[in-house]
Amino acid sequence: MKEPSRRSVDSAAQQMIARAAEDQVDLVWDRYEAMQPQCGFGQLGICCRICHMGPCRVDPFGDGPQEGVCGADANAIAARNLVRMIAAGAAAHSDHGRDVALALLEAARNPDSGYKIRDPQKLAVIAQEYGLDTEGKSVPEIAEAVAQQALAEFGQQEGELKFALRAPASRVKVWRERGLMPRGIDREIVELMHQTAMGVDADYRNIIKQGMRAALADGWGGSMIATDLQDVLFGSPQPIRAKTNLGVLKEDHVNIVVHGHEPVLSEMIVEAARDSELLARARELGADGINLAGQCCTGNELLMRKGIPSAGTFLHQELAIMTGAVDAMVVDVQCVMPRLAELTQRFHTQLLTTSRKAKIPHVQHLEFREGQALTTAKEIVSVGVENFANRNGQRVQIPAEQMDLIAGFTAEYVNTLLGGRFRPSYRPLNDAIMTGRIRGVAGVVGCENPQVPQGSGHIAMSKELIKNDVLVVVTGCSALADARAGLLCPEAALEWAGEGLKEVCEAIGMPPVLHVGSCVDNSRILIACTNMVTEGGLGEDISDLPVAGAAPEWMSEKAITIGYYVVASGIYTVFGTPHNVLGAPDLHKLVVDELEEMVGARFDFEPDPIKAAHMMIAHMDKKRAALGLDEMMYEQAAPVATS
Amino acid sequence: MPRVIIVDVEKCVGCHSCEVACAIAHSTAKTLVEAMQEQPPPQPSVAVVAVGEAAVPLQCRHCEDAPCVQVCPRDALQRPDPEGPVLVDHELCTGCQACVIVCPFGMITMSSDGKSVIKCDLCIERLGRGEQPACVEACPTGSLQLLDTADPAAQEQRQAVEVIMTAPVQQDTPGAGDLSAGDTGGADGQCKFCGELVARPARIKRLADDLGIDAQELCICQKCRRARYSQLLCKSEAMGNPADGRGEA
Amino acid sequence: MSKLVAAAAVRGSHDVVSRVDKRLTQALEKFGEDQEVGFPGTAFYLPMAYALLGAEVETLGGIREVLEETKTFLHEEPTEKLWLPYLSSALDSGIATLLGEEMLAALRYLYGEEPREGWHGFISDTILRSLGIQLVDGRLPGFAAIVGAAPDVETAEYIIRELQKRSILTFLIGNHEGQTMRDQLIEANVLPDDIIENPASGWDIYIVPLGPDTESIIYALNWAMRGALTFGGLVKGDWKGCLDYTRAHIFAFGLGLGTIDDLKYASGAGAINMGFPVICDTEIPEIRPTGVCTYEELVRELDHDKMVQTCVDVRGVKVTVREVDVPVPVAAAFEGETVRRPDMHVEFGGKYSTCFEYLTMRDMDEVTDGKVEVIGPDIDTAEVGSAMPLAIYLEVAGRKMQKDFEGLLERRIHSTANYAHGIFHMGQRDMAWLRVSKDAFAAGWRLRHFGDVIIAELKEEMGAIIDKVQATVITDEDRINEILPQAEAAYRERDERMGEMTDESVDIFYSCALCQSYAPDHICVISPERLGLCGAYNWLDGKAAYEISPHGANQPVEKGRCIDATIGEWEKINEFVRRESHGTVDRVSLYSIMDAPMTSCGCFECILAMLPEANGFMIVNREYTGMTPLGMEFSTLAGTVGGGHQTPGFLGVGRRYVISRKFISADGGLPRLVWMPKELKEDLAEGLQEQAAELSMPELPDQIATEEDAEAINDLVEHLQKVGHPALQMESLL
Repeated sequence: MKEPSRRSVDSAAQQMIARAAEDQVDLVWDRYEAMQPQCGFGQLGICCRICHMGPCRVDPFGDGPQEGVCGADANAIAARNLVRMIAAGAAAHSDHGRDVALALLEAARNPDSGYKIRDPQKLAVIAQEYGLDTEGKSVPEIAEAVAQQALAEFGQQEGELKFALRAPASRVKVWRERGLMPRGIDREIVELMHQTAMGVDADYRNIIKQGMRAALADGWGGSMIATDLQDVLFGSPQPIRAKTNLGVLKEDHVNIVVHGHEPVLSEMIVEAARDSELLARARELGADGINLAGQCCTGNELLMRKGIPSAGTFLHQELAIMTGAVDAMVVDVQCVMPRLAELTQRFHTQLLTTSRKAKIPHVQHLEFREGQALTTAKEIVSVGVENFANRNGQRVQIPAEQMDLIAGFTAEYVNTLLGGRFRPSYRPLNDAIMTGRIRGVAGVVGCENPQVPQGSGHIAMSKELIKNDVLVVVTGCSALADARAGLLCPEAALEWAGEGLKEVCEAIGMPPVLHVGSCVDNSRILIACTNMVTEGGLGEDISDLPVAGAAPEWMSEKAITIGYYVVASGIYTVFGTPHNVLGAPDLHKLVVDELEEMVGARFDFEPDPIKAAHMMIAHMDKKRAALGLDEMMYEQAAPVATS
Repeated sequence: MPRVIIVDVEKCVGCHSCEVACAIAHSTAKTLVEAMQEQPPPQPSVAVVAVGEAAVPLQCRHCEDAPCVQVCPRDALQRPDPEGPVLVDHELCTGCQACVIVCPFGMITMSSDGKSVIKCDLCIERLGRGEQPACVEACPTGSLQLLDTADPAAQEQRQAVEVIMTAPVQQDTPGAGDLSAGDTGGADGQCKFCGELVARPARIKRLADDLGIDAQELCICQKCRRARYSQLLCKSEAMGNPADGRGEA
Repeated sequence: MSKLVAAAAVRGSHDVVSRVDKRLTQALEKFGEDQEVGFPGTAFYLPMAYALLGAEVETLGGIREVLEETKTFLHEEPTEKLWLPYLSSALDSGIATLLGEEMLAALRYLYGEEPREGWHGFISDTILRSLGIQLVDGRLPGFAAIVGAAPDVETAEYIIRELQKRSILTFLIGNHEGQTMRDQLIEANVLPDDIIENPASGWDIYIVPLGPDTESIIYALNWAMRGALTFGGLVKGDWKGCLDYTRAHIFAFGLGLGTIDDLKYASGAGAINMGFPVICDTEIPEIRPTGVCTYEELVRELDHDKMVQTCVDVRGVKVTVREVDVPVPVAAAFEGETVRRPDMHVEFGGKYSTCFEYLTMRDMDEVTDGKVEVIGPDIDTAEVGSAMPLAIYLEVAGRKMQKDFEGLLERRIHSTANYAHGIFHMGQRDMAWLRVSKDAFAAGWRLRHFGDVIIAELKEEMGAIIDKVQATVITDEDRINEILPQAEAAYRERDERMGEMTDESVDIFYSCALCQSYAPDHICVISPERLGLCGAYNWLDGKAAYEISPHGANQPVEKGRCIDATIGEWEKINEFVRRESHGTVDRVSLYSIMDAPMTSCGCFECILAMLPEANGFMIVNREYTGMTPLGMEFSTLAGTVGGGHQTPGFLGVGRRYVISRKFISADGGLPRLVWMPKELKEDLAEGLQEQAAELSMPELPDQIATEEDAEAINDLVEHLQKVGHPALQMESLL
């Protein structure tokens, strides 16, 4: 397991992993190995720490206890644990959304904030959706009203989330009938925490139900607000060229890596990095300029809108430091490994935390203040510039790898993509599916996890899918893993796509794998699915569509939340490693089987990415058959499922 | 040189990881996820039992002169390698339970389908690959160790445990009978500590005769044997660490 | 691959736009900003710019504004590697190209360079409206724009005959290395030589040469775009509605013959935006995924034999090729053909001989289906260029046949006989006039084929009401004179019956939703005394059509309780209209133009409009191109009436409604009519006299002014005062 090739399929990563081994630096993989074997009860979801009568765990194999001290059985215990992950994931995404709404409010009220409203059209659309009177109002006035309305969605107690009503009518009906319609974003999370507190809900079905409701409050609430208001504030993405991998770091430049999840600060850092004084100072210190690179989803946000290069994914965060060329790593929230603190000390890299929610002991904290976003950003860039002087040139070792990619696809842009300015429509996509050029659409999303060689799941799955004429949309780490393999280049269609998908990609000039953004931007996939339903010919509900989701290398609680809002929205989803439910047979059956009856979709767990891709293909074929669609137009690579 | 698993009682936090790892190691698939789906489910042959506030993982001692081997009517229990563990041949085992009754430590159990017995094989497969037994590897605190029998620590624990037949048992064990209540006779084939039926008296007598011991010695149920065994381990630990008085409590 | 197409389209659009830029700069220097520009005979300014951008271009300054906006649709060529999505660039370039070509054409008109000699150039609104009914009833199932030229004359003729057979209207555009399809077709004798003098004559045979260069495609496309504005009820600037409309309702496609250069690709990209696919006969990259167009967008068909069928398949044109066992092809495309005297083998009727058509109903056992009997000498006995007498006597029987349908069926003879290639037919009853061309005669056409073709077409179209048809074709004078009095008696009887039939005498009216395929919210209500506004459907037609197709466009509508007899409003009629107009029209009156008038689709024969100064109404027919006292030409006026909207004071009507007793009777009737074009007045002269007599106002027809009396409103009022027109004395309209 020590060989770099078994830790990552990315050759740049492999070089840095080898370097770490030489330098006797522990990386995430080493820590993962040290942790082996991992707690089986935890993996099975059957240990409970909810009250102090415990900790309790039920015995999965032996004849030990089958229920906790309070009497909660494995199903109740695992269900409570699982949905608390949902609560945490939903809280993370939604709190991100809240911060964006607050930034919009700041932008609207404070002309000196440094923020501008870059997509007033989208703002107007949202204002209309919120039922706001915009007649004769200025853009900042509308922005203020929209921000307040969005913030009200978090604290709303009764009624229904506005964006949830964007879903197809039949989906909304399912949610209403099953009691899944989210009322307020915070409320669903709080209720979920209450429901799973000691001695409250012992019915695993009822627990999962509220779990889905909170997940929906994220997907169609917090995350969607984050996506939409970010578009309003920073501009809606459009296809754009960019590069990714460690090779984007520049030996002769000040390298500042922004890492985490939110664009609210990093958008300002982009501006600060162009500041003439700071540039002059960088040159004074011997650098050719300031090179900003992203990482993780902060990176994706900047990549989508600005084409800022990405230095990699979650598991690249330590490897970027290993290059010895990073002068400052600026982190905001989520997926930041605390271990960076120690690692950066072995190099000259200055680590900076910026969020009041995310500090690391002994790490310099430069708190982001919304009112003075640009000033904070300049201070941060300045730290990086000054630190350039401390760089030890001898220790700099930047892998050459960098890959071109096209990013910047959104649910709205699909219209233009397929028809230009005057024929915007989803019709060509629906048509391509109906006539069998494209089998369906798969969302391959999610994290990276040292349990799986980095990128192996995402890339193998995406390749297998496009080979079988499935259009793939990607977000987050999955997107950048595929990007490193060249799948986000338009040329990839010619090389790897099946005949039908290739024809479509060639006609449109698009890659076979479309980068639709960061992990909150999975909400874009929900809207895209809704648009497909609205366009017509593919059924009445998202659950009728020949689409599927997958998270082959997941690790975060957020991935669980995404999984549940995706399934609760009617999309069949395959996770690589299973959720922590296997110790609870009835719960396990619920998530891989009975959910289908409840919400029209379910989960499957399959670690082999090729097998998982075939399960997704079989699902799409089932939906195609139910819709009475044409046979696939061209001969298919994978055997067509018969069931 | 024979090897043995010894327990550092001080380090056990009662997480039961050894049990899970053992079951997985003896499953068909050898992975947690798939093992969970197997029917019949794989069973562990290590058991963590509580002794007061402490927890002790127990497994087969692989006795030098093993009573289980002596009594097995079909020679299903054997020690093929004189320096290796006592193993069950599941093809030969009929599930007669003779070994279960005679095991001084209560560490032979019936399989869930009742067709065979299950006991620790010291993860002989894994040892062959140069790996540690699953329970040893799974233990997050290093409470379990595989040691050469010549190792002083192993010898110490061994000697302590070997006094099992004569050592007075005093401590309460949840789920077992009151060991301090003393010998209640066990005349009807019942456990002399808790009264649970062990076997028919005639069977107990025959097995005792085969082993050349007093029938009374076999009148202890599996739970009480385990309780006695775990107490003994605590004792041996306490003897090794006089500063810690937990073993005496 | 498609990237090459996108790159070509991008280059083509840049080229056109820069040419407009140059030409406009020159024009601005010469004429200035305020110089008027525009196309003849349209109310839609520069129609493409009007529909897509909402621009009402009247001056060079207006063109400049459109040009500025057009430039925003230009894109960069896709790169060699790591290209950004280019379909959208190609499509936008297409739009830029169409707008550019339209501006170029407008500038050419300004300089008097259009139409080129021998080419039609811009197509007027009037032509569009007059083709309206053919569009909706399937006689004109589609449009082809041929860009370029065939490799040889034979192929040119083959392709055009294949299109004609399917009744597809074909525009000839551009050239291939200097060779034009028009010249090829003249050489092949498909187009007459005099097409050069009168390109508009091409409409009759469904082949219209628009212009010799690729840019002329704009004439076809901005004409198609006006379909959306005229029939679709769409407003300027509703680009989405207009383009959705052309895609859904206008079955057009492009045929690229010969080399496809950048401009052709760019123009094709424009057509694709409208939902019109392009089919080429050279090795071009294809764009087969569907969605922008209904089916494939850009298709290669190297086999000329299959080309037209491929076009029809790719556009999804619904074509029924008529298979009648006669020696010449039969299709609606041949309906407008004329046979000129030098080309004529023989003629019947006109002023040269007796000729009549008579259809009568018989019992089932009295008719032998399909039987054709010829009595008298056949046309091979005739001297070339001479006239013969002729009677076409049809006997029909059917379980659903009614005496009332005789006249309707008899009138079908006109079109069915005309569908035959080389046969010319005009008039009806005892006014019929037929010619057989030399070509048709040479192909083997004989008298019995009149019977064959008429029987086949009647059975095809009227099969639901007639089960049996037999035909007797007579040239024997004695037999003709024997049957003629019977026929004349029948004509008289029918006229009297129809004359007696009033709106009060029936409980059921008929609806006509035929135009809903073009004007989705429009619905006609046809009563005995008010025919459809297109002039093509009267109450009996509606009744027969319902018998033929019980779920078709013509449905019986019960009148129900009369709400207001004066304005002609009934409860159930209102309910019906409300439902069928999808709630856009709440109530409708049959006899008033002021209160809840009927909506119009776009293919009305005439427009009736209020003239407050004259306290009356004027009527103008679509053929009239002059100015009206309202200060608007027909085409401009039509824009305010069509699209399924109710517009008090304006009404689209059929010609013959003028001479109905119920002619706007609620608003004062015929005495309110103060102005009409002379041609219309002459056409309706007899009826006007009758109505005037009934009203005891015999001088009324003379009092109604024409363009000869007045064109401006002031002159008109003066004239009306002079002749003492009764409208001036009537109650004030306002």
